[in-house]
Amino acid sequence: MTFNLSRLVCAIGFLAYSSLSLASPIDNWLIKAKEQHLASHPYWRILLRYEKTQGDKLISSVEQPSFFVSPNGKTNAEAELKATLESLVAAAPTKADDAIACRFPARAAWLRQQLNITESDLASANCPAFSTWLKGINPHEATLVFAADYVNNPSSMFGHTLLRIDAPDQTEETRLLAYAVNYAAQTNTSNGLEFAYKGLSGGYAGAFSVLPYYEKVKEYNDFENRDLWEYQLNLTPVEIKQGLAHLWEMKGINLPYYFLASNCSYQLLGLLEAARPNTYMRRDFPVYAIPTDTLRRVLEEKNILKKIVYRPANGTALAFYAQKNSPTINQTAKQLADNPEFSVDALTATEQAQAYEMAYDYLYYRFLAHEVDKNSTPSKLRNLLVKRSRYPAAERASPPRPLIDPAQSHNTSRFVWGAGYGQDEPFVSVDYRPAYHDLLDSDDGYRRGAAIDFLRLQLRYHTDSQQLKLHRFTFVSIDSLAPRNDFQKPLSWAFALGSQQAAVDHYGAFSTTEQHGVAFIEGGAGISSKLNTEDWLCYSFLQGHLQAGNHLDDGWRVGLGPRVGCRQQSSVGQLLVDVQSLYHQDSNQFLNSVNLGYQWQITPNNAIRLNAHIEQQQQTHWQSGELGWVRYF
Amino acid sequence: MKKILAIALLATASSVALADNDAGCGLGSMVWAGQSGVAPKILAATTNGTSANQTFGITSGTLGCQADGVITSTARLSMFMGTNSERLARDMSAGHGESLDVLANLMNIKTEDKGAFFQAAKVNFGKIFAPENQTAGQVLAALQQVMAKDAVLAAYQAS
Repeated sequence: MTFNLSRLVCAIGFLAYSSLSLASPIDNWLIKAKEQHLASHPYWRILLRYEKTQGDKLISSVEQPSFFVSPNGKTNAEAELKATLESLVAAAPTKADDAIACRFPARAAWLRQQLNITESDLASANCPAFSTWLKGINPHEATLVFAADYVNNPSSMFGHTLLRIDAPDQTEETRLLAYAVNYAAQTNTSNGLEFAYKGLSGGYAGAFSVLPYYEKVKEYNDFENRDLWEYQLNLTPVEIKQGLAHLWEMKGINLPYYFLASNCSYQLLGLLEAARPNTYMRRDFPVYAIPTDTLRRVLEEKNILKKIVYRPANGTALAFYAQKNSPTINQTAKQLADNPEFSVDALTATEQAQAYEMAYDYLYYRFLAHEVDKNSTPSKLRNLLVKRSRYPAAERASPPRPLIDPAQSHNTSRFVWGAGYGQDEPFVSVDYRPAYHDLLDSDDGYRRGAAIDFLRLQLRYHTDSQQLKLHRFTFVSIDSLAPRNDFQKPLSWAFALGSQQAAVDHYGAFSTTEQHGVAFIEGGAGISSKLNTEDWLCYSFLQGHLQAGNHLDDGWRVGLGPRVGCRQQSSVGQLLVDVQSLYHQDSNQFLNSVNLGYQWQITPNNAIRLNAHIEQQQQTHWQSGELGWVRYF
Repeated sequence: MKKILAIALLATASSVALADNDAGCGLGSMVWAGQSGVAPKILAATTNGTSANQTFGITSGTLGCQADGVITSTARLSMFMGTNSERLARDMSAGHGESLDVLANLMNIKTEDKGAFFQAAKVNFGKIFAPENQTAGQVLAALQQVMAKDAVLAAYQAS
């Protein structure tokens, strides 16, 4: 009896054991995955882009079926995870690169790590295309590259970010050979308006591209004259490879592209989140992502910044040399750019070499800007360099790196709380602006003279009459004060759209007691100059505006006339003086206005602002003054 | 008349043949080609659009030169020259510069020979960037000829 019982126990034991070993590893993994809720793990969501809400579910923002293993992958995270796991043990396909582990190396690696899957459990993971690609990139370090704005294009002030992958044996000199990872809208059009409309409304798909960094440097530094700031990061080689594995999965995959929200910098954050698990940066940008803000966010990560390198644009270098060279060199250079055979005998040998270099830089700059004849210029450029080559080699000073880099510039949104007097009536005020930068803000980290404001709301509560008024709403306001030098003669301009309080009575006549709201559109163009100083920037415009409102004589009025102003930057703060004298058709008179502003910087993100405004027509005037505390966040 | 015509035809044919040989992986790019088309500067920068041929994985006209955005090792020198010939020209004429350093690196010039390389390139700039050398390939060929004649640099001539 005892003998039979023990045999039974043995038999049962044996049966139990064999059933366990007969259960394939895949079944265990699936059970474990369910227990660990891997399908709803934040990292699985990052890899498969489960970011779009549909009802109460999260679905993937990728449309392409090739991105998923399961036919229901887009809407069903569990099904996708199950299908991915099953494919890891499936027979290897004829083409090794087609294996799921080779097409989606980041997913495979993460699942293996989460479920403790050992190599022996899987079909051999030899992925020729992925390995070759990774070897070619040769990743060791990563650098976040920020492209600043270019002259006369304040909307480019928002910047652009891309990632550069640096090789282990890379030096300062060979940075150009690194690879750049860039996210951009896929578009074939050269129609500017279409770009703007579709870019804003999501009409374009976005995708990642990998290309040599030198191509991006040429595009940004040379073609677009944008300075590049290279922020070397402390990501580890393991982290970078993990990020690249995810990038490989994104090959040829389209994601949404929205200029404001799902743009270059937002998607780059996603890549960094894939590289360094448990990093969640995109959460901080639920509505819109401005590249400078994303740059600041990345730099908030502990010990992430290694070094900052500045790479000035051609245009920046040209302006620097124009100021550094003697007038003789500059004058000769301009002649040479027109005619390389121009005589340089009046200059010393060193000066002659510099003149040829300056002439080349100037002519090349104009050539890229389509300002000179495309057919005859290449031979001139060649000729200038041949002449230069006959002089001894000499190193040229590089434009100095601005002290404050874009990441340290004042923050994007701004509140001003203030109080003041308007025609002897006191008021308290609130001024809010979500983005971006105006002429009274500190220009550290920004281009001096460039300003762009959106959706700025200024409210005033008049304590005597207990009236709350919309003092001014600016839908958009752009200033582009581009200073001129011997070589660059840009047109400066300004534009604004919004509504404001105008000192008029019910009949549209100038009033010293009333103000009524008018909608306005205004603009001006002219020239700016630094007046041979370091801190001053002055401008002279022809300005015009169209105002519309119930309280205007014909319901509208037009003003046209001169506008001059000056801006000064010092270590203490910023000064702005603006004077306009616009002739109005309804009153047949000049309406003059003077705006004075001063902002004392206490810290980069805190300041005190003083504003005085005087409007005058003939002998009557309207004046107001205001003092406020400025806070950027 | 027939003779002149024949010679002219022969001359054109041989220059075309030369161009074909030098056209692979970036070498066909014209030096000082400038930007093609009118870039919609104001709004292009705003939306940071890119043309389709920059897409990761799609390599227009550069089959065998790059795969998935990454350049094959044999094509590195030619692709670099194809894109950077202008910066290279500028650096070469001055005898120093970043692009020149990268070129030396791609041609495996040893550190101790870099000075000689920069000097030889500058002194012979007129030959390397002669007017008839319109493409990056022709410039590279001319540079290699200059190196072949230099005592120190002749050793670098690729087999």
